Amino acid sequence: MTTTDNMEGMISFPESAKRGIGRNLLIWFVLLTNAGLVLGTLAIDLVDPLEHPKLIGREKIADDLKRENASVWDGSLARLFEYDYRIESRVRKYVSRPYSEFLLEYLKETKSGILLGAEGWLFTKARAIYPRMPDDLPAKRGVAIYGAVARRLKSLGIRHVLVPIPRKSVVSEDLLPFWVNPDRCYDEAIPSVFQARGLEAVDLLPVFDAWDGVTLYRATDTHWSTSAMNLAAEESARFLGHLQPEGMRVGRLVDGGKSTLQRPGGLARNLEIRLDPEDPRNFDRGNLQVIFTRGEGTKGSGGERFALCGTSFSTDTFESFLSHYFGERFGLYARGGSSSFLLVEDLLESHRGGPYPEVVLQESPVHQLLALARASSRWSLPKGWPGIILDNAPVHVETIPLSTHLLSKGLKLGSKFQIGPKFNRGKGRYLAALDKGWLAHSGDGVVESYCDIELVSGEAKISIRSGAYRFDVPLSEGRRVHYLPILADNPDVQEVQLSILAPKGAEVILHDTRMVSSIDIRTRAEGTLGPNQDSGGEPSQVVTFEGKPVLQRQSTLVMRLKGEGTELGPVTIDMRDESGEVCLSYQFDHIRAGASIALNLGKMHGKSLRSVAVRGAGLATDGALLNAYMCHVLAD
Amino acid sequence: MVFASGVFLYFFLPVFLATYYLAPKAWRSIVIAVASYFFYGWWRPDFVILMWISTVVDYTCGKRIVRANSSGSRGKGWLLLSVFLNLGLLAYFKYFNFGVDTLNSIFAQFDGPSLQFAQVILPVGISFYTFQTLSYTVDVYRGQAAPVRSFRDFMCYVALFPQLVAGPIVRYNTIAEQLHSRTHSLDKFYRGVLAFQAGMVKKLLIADVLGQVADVAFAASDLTPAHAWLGAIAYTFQIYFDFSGYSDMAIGLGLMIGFRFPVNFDQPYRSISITDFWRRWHISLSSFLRDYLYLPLGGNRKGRIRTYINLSMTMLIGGFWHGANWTFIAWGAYQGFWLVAERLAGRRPFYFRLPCALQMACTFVLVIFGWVLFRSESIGAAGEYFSTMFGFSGAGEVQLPLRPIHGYAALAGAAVIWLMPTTQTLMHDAKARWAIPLQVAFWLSLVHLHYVSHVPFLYFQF
Repeated sequence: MTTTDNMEGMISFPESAKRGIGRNLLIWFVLLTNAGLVLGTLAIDLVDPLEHPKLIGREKIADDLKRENASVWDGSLARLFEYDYRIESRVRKYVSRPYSEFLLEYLKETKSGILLGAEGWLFTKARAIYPRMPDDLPAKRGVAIYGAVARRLKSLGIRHVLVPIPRKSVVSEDLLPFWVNPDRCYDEAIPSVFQARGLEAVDLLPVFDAWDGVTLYRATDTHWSTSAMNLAAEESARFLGHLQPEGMRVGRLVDGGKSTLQRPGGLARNLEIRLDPEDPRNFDRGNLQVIFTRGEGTKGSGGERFALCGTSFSTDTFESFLSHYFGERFGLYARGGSSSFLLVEDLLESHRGGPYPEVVLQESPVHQLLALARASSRWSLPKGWPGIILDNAPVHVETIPLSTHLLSKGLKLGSKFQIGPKFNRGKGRYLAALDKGWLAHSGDGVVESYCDIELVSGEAKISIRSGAYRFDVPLSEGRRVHYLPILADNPDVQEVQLSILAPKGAEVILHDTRMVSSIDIRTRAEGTLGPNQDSGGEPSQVVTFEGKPVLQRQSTLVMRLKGEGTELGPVTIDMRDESGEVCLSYQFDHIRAGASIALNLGKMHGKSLRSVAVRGAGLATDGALLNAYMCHVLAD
Repeated sequence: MVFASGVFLYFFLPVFLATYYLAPKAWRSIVIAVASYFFYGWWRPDFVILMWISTVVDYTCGKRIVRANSSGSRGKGWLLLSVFLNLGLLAYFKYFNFGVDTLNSIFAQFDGPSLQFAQVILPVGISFYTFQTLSYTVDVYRGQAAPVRSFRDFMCYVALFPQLVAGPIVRYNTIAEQLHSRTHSLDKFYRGVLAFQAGMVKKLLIADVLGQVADVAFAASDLTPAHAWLGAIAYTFQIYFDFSGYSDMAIGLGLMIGFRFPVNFDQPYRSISITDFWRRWHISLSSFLRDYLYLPLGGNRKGRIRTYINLSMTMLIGGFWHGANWTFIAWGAYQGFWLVAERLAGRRPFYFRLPCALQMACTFVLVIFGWVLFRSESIGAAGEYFSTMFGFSGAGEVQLPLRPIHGYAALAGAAVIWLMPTTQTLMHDAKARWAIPLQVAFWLSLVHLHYVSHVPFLYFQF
């Protein structure tokens, strides 16, 4: 016997008319136990759900936003329902914990977001493994953001110093699982790129690498230990020239003994496992503390010379070490869930009308910069950041002369035009492009796109794309000037496109757009163009700089080639120091006559620049260069 | 909504089953249709409208074809309308981005302009339900199926949630009778529960665990040859357990509401040739392609050369159906090549005198090569992966993050593939010796489901 219509290929099975007791028992056992499991879970989770976790700071803002924007139509409401069910499920809580402990104990298995390293060390996977990207990309994106903060503070007479905190996976690389390469090149590139763009940064990685004491990170936590903070504070004081001798320091440095305080970044909690309080992985070994006396002042009086914009974790711990080594109390600006970036705003607000601190130290965890670079194809600034960037444009700007017309066909400067899905299929409008070969630069963010634009109505954002990188900034109503960094892997072959995007209809006026370099034109040093030479069968021209200027990290060379748009083929630019040795060399495979070149010479800092040679088979035989000069970024 | 989720298991399924069995028989198709729309629209309700358009147009076309037949003409125009609509929807939603990208890459070769279009989002399951509705109008046109009795039944057929998003492809003529008259019994429900449980265990405890290895392998560069092989084998296991797991769950859910769906997998990794593989792998697709593409092209009735061309064409299109990427086309071509080669060789060669186990091993290796093509991001990436497997790109340094759990999952997978009976046998037998261990494994997979987060199925993307 089979069921109704036994078609070929269909599931078939005997349907016996009579079933024995054993069979009936089996069927009822399977059905009832499973129905009990499903309905029991549903009943418990509906009747007695867990309380929704109380969020604070950034997480709360993100959660509120998610709930506010949840919609049936894009599935976000459904995902929110699934998410809420997961975190409010009481059954899940009771089932998941023993299962996690079983997996960890017997199979050495963790959740997908956490890595189990040697000696039971836990690492956040997202902070250890990143997709491959150029070594200096995170640093360059950091420059675009922190550069604005530095300019803002500098305009108020405040010295801004960044303290990039190397990642746990880099500092404790030997404890990572064997197959994880944390790419320490990203952490290594940050201080030098920051310095090349005029930002002061304390380089902690060599200090941490040289350290041979207790661990600098907590084993089952994402945070740095008090020993690491102590080292960082001492190095910061040394960097700023404020390291006080023993007798001049405030507070007393003591070992506070074992601390089992559970911090918000505890990975054991994320794994839903309980650690034995006696487990040495669970406490900060070498739990250092600074004990202050009343006579040494209290922080937060508002009159401090030094201030720290810290992460939510550091709160007063890092500040206490800084105060100790600097010999005076620090002002502290830190609150739970806020990025240190936004805390600069708090600091300025609280000092409104009063004297500002002389120096502001800002914690900058490297993983935050890597998060900015992670989605390399599309870069949108986190909430709250675009305003600060837009309000603090570069002070010194030099327009790079271009012989190509930037604007797209049919668009006139100063005319009102409409964008959005009603008007364009792609929900956006392409405004202007700089074709490949017209601009060659070292990719260190030395060139920016200047865009003077007015949003008349609607919502829109401006987007600059170069190579794989796209940078979006939302427009606010009214007329604003935007400086958008151009980041590209191969700037000579990648077109730079400026577009405007609008989810709905919007009206915009583009008043002006051009390429600029944020250099201080007052520091301009003209190069002397030499005659054309034959260098092994190809024309070359040498620029000499009288007085052989000593290069700084912020030195930028700007040149323009003669001619009108002919494709030149490979052009090589060699920089020689006083000994005549080639110290830095750039090759651009596609470049046009008339192109502009902007190169950062920071890698030669400390050396004298003797000459710059430009050579390439396609260069004009009567001299390739129209002009060449050197400037510094952000003069003091 | 996915089967392996808390929302489905603890909310949707109990509410649906209760409503279904409490509803009068005449209303059950409506209950299924409404529940299916809810299931399908859970993440993107607007795509339900698309399915509705397909449903209304094909229902109308079917009716018109029958009316035309009764008035002496064949209703070819209505058939063409149905074909154009279904294939048009598929072409637009599935292949538009691919077409634009291909054109742009051709233009880029000649420094031409770049076409700028918004990316089209692929509605989940469109490949499956368009084939199903197409099968309806074609079967009615050919006279192989009577037109559906009511719009209610047709809505139920098109939207039937157990197999809606990832098959098996249920052809209209195989299910027509069941749409308005099907039996329900405790025994059938019980067998359905077992099939659903087997699918869930396959998906969560084997496919997803080995998928971690495959994901790392295909994203890594500079793997050692041995680890490249392990990565390819992990994907071979993953795709089988993921897809057959989904099919088992679909079949099980179907049985719970009285439907019998076609068998979709029959121990494919025990095949002794690629021809044999295609009799066992995604059977509902291969039989669909056979009946609606290969045979209309002439099948093997127009001479040897045409047979080979027809076979290759069918596999090429079958490959392209899986996705808009050159890798799927190459995978289809690869399968077609072996099918033609085996036909050319007939049953004479030395190969068929080898021990069965050796034939199975050879076929398994050929299948693995196919999956490397299938899984790779591009043809170039597949080439690199092959060269890594054979050590042509150096010794390689990178090893996969293999952990004990991967070993256990692989062992369990191998046991299911080569030692244990299929889900069909398990359902056919349905005895305590299989049912009790299955309960334990299912409860473990429920615990695992609480532990992991989102677990989509691989075939949702096709």
